[in-house]
Parts: sequence; C-alpha cells; structure tokens
Amino acid sequence: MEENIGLTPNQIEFLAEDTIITIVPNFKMESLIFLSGEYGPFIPSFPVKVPLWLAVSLKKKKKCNIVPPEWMSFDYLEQQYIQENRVTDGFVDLPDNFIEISTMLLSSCPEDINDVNKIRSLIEDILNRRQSKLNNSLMNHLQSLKDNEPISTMEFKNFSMMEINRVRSSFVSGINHLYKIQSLDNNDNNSNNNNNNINRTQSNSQTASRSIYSNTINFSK
Amino acid sequence: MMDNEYNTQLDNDENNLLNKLKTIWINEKFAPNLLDYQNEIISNVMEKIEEKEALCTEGIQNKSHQFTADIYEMEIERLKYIVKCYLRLRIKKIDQFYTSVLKESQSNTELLSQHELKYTERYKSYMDEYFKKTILSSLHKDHSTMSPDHYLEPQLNTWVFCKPKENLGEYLIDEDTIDFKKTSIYFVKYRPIKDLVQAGRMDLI
Repeated sequence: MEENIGLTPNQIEFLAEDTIITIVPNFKMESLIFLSGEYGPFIPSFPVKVPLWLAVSLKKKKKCNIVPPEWMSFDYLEQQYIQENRVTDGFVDLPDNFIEISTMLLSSCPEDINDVNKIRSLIEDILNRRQSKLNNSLMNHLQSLKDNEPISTMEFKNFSMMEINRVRSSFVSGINHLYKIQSLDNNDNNSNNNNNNINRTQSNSQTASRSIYSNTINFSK
Repeated sequence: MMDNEYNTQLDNDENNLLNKLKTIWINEKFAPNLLDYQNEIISNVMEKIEEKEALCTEGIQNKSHQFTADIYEMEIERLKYIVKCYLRLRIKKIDQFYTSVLKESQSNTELLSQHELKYTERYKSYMDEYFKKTILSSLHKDHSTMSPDHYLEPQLNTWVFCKPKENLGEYLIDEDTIDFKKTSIYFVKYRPIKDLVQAGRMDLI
C-alpha cells in the first residue's frame, strides 16, 4: 500500500527545471512570455535570464552558452565542503535544487564550466557527506526513543527535496510500521482486558469476541 | 513607463500562477487524503494554455515564427504535464476512498469539481453493484450490506515532510509544542497539520 510514495527523481528534476539561469544566446528573437514571466529579448552575445529547461534545450540546438550559477565554482563549493565536514548537527546552506541543477549542467554543458572534473567530484563528496549525516541523525533520533515512547516531530534545515525523497519511502513506511506496532501493543493490552471480562462474566462471550474481531480489522487498515 | 509597470505586475502574477500550480500538485501528491479541488488555479492555467495553443497554430503558418512557436509548445507541454499529474492523482485517491470522499463532499462543496463529483457518484454506484453481485448476495443476510467501516479511509496518522509558508508560531503537536519557522523543514504527523495544509499555510515537500 505504501509503494509509490514520493516523486520520481525525474519529476524532481522537472520541478528544478524552472530555476532561472543566465545564458548567452547567439541568435536574435523577441521576448518570450511564459506563465512564469517574461524572458528576453534575445540579442547575440548579450546575457539573458531564462528557465533552465529552455537553456538546456537551446544548448542542445547549439544556440547559446550557459553561464553556470555563482555557487557552481570550485572555490565556493570547496568552502562549503569544508563547512559541511565541520558542522555535525545540521546542513550547509546550498541552493534548494543544487543536486538537480548541477547534474543537468554537468551533463548538458561541461564545456561552459571551469574546473568541470574537480567540481563533479566535489559535488559527489558533498552529497555523500550529507547523506551519511542525514542517515546518522535519523538513526540517532530513533535510537534515543525509549520503549513505547511516541515518535516526536523532527526539524531540519537546508535540506533539499531530492535528499528528502531518497530517505522518504524507507523512513516513512518504517515509522508507520513502528507506529502500528506501538498501537498494536496498546490495543493488545485492551483486548487482554476484554478477555479478562469474558472470563469473569462468562455471559455474553459472542459480543466480546466480535469486539476483538473488529479490533483486528482496525489493525489491518 | 505605464507599459513597464503593467508588465512587471503581470510577471509577478503569472510567476505566482506557475508556482501555485506546482504547489497544489506536490501537496496533493504527499497528502494522504483528498484535498479541496483548486478550481481557480486550474481554470486559469487551462485558459492560458488555450490562448497559447491558439497563438502557436498561427505561428506555424508563418515560417519565421516557427522557432518561437516550438518554444511555446514546449512550455505548453510542461504545463499540461503538471495539470495531468494533478488530476490523475486526485482520481486515484477518489477510486481508493470513494465513500469517505462522497460523504465529505456533502458538507464541503469545495472538495470535488463538477466532473469529479459525477465520476465519484458513478464509481460508487458501480462498485456497490459489483459487490452486491459478486459477494454480498451470497452471504447471510446479517452480512449482506456494506457497513461504513468496511470501506478504506485515508491513513491520516502517517508522517510527512512539510515546510511552513510563513512563520506560523507555536502549535501543539501531540504533547509537544512546535514553533513552526519558515526556514525549517519538519518531519511531523499529518493529522495535526492537515488543516494548515488545506488552508495553504503549510506546504508538503
């Protein structure tokens, strides 16, 4: 029942494709009016801002060069990586869709990016570091719970949709199962009480067993 | 001058429209129950799509505008994709929870669109008939009607990731007080924040 929870990575990439990015066109065209705003006019070698999906598609047709965003420089990312290692209980502030944007740019326009190979491996390192930090903090949170203590709300900062999506299905369904087991325990206590009642009264055993039956129905929902 | 002012105004509104469309899709995706149908946003977007499609067909007659028309066509396809995802998600939820949806729609007229309401009613009558023909008719008469707790209901006790749209202040979640801040992401039980999501003050992510 809990399969198909979350978006596919492609859909998350799709959402990130509306991010605005600068391109340098090599053609002339009037402004475009999209639902998200007006872009252009396009004049050869004048930088202009467009949504990422348009930038990538124009790049494929060799009609523009893409200007990588400021944060996609080796110096900046290296600093963030050092920070990411220093901070233990939180995440460094990176743009919301940095994973999707960097993946798309690295594959569609490597020649427009300085130090492209260094950046590629640096982003990989940052991702791995964040992933293991996230796993640890989720594990710690669960392990800090005492027996039967309800799961409490968790707060995160600077955490991207792609990263959430990666842990979502396993974590949410795990928590739901835990919750089910906990409420099963509680209900078990209740039905034990019911059993006691039957033993004591012996009168209306049929209704009592029906109520236990309806409890089991509730669990399976 | 006047033109410019008008344009920036237009930009802002339209930008919001795309973001709003994306938000209602994502919220519907992660909410376990069916949320209210966002008639205004969907009909606005459909209107824009139709306008642009008309422009594109004109563009095709004029060879020099072919390139621009192609780009607009890409934008239209992207918008249609989101609208389709949104509507299909809703139908999926309706199929699953048709009884509770129909019940809720009696007190909440915003829940379903006209089409969805018709669909749900028809779906329910087919399902009822199906159950009657296949199982219920052959059971003992004590069990031959569907009681309300035989139907699937959305699992509101599930957990979600969410992000407040603004600083919401303190809310009581179970026994903890949570101060919902705009800059944070929360992993929280869905039931207590359900109304915040419906009111558009909290986004699921």
